[in-house]
Amino acid sequence: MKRKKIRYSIYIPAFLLTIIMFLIGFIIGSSVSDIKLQNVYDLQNDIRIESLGNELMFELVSEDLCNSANLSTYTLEMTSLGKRLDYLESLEGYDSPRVASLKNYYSLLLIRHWLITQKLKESCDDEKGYVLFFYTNIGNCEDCEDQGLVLTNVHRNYPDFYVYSFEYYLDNAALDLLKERYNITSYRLPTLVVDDSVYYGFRSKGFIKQALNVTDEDQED
Amino acid sequence: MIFTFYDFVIYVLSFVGLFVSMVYIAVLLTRNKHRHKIDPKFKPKISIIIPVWNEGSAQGERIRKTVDSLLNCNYPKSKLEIIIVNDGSTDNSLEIANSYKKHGVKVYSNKKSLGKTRAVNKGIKHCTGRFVATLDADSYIMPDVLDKLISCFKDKNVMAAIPSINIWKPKSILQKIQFIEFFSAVFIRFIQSELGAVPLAPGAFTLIRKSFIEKYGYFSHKTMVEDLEISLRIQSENFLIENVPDARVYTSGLNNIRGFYRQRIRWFLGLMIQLKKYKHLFNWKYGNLAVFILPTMVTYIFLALFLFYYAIIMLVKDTVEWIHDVLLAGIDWASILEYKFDIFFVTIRNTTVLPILLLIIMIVFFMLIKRISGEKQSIFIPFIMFALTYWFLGSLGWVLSIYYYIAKKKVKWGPNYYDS
Repeated sequence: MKRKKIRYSIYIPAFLLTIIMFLIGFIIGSSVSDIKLQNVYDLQNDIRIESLGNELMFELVSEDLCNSANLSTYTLEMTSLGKRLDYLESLEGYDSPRVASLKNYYSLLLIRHWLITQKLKESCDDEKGYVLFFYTNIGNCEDCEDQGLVLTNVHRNYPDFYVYSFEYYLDNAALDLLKERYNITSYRLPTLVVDDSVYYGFRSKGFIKQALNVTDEDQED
Repeated sequence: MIFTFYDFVIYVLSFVGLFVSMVYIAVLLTRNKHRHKIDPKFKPKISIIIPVWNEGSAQGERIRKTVDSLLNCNYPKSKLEIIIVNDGSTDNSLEIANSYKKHGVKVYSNKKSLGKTRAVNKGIKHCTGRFVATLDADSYIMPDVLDKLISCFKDKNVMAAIPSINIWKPKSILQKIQFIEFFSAVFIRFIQSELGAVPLAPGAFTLIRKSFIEKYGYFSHKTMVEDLEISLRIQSENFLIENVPDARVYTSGLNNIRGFYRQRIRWFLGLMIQLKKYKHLFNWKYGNLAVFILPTMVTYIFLALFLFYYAIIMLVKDTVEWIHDVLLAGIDWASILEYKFDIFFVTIRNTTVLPILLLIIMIVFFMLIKRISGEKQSIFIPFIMFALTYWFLGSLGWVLSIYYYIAKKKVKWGPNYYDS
């Protein structure tokens, strides 16, 4: 029986072309990822300058601090950076060293923001509350994601308080001090600190609203 | 980037899909445009067998259109033998068939329905042509089809020649989807023919060298896909099946989903059974059929299963997660109403780009085959319907077929039952 010919002259170039197209796809994909990382770096840098500026302003106008301080832009930028980092983490994975490094730095910026708001609270009778949210995406915490979702929802509807979210396992001396101060341990995550009161384990939407003393009248239209 | 199992499968399938597309492009670029030149002197006798089972009043007498299309074709009448085999119809099919006797049409009849295959074989036994074609009683040929197909047989290695088969004036959504399903088969058969490796000569219309049937056997009535079986038999003997894309035959699309799935189960299940029976064809000596066409068909089965599994899993997972989130935090109207577009949150992943790229390539192929085959019916709206639904409809057909195969369920086709 006569053998049928195999058209290698078609298959080999087609195979090589497929590999080339795949490689081009990968290169484009990774450059897009690099562009996103660069975007976050740039934003962090802007915020670092902003927060430093705020600190210096507080030193310079200490006698008229309460009238001069305006944290709205600073806070908005922090929120935007937080969202970007969350998104980046969902793309790159929780164990990505690049994201971990960015988050580490972000947590320092958060602590700095928190300190500034604390200072304003003491000096200017600012009633704005805060929640420190300790969670982990790296370790084992079944309720952390749910707690994050509830907090985001409450904050979106009652924006008159600050939320500071910290990954428990970040290697960061300032964060370690904060954990020590509120006695945060890995096996009791998620942990919320609402205006200096510590709550271990998952807390519902109603509980958080009560702890923050917000009512439906405070809800944003 | 996170690399999940699904990503891995999408990468593998996209790579295969892209490679297959590149092969198709290479075939298109290197094809011989004058391969199917009509030879006006080569007009051997052709016998056309039309098996009929309740194609009269039960189906709006569409058999008339089928026979009329043959009587109106360009092929010399003296060289054309039309045979109608009435397979125990209970309507007026026989009466209609007999009315064509005055036009020289021969009519044979089974008192009881024995199934399409036995009816076709009966017709072949009575026919006198050197070439024999089977034509379904719901299909119609264009006037130049026989002239175009017969020229292929000047090559002694060609045992069968097939036209483009498409749906005539699709009206319902289901028919429009079938139109593109058939149209994609037109393209694929064209490529397979260029590679000398057509694995299926469709039963709706195929012209076969009668000497092959006499030597290697008639259509097998033991299978539910007699057309595929005889095609693989032709390939087993290392002969050729030629496709002439601009020879057009039309058939009626099914109009109910139950019939649609019954047909797909018969086709897909039949394909699996025949691939197992003819597994020796996965051998290098069978050329492009072994190294490219058959592996592509097997990959397609996996793709269909993966698409179905992936779609169902994702749908269930997303719904469960959404319900969980709503119960926990309520519907977050604020985030929906205050949504602001930000390019940062748009990620073009390779796993999204590659299937989109393949879809674009597919559209280009469709436009090309539309030109090559001379198809006049618009493909735009049907293609949109096909792209939106077939990934599920087709995949479900495969899932059901595999269930039939594993559960060894019997399949009814006509009056007969077939083992899985």
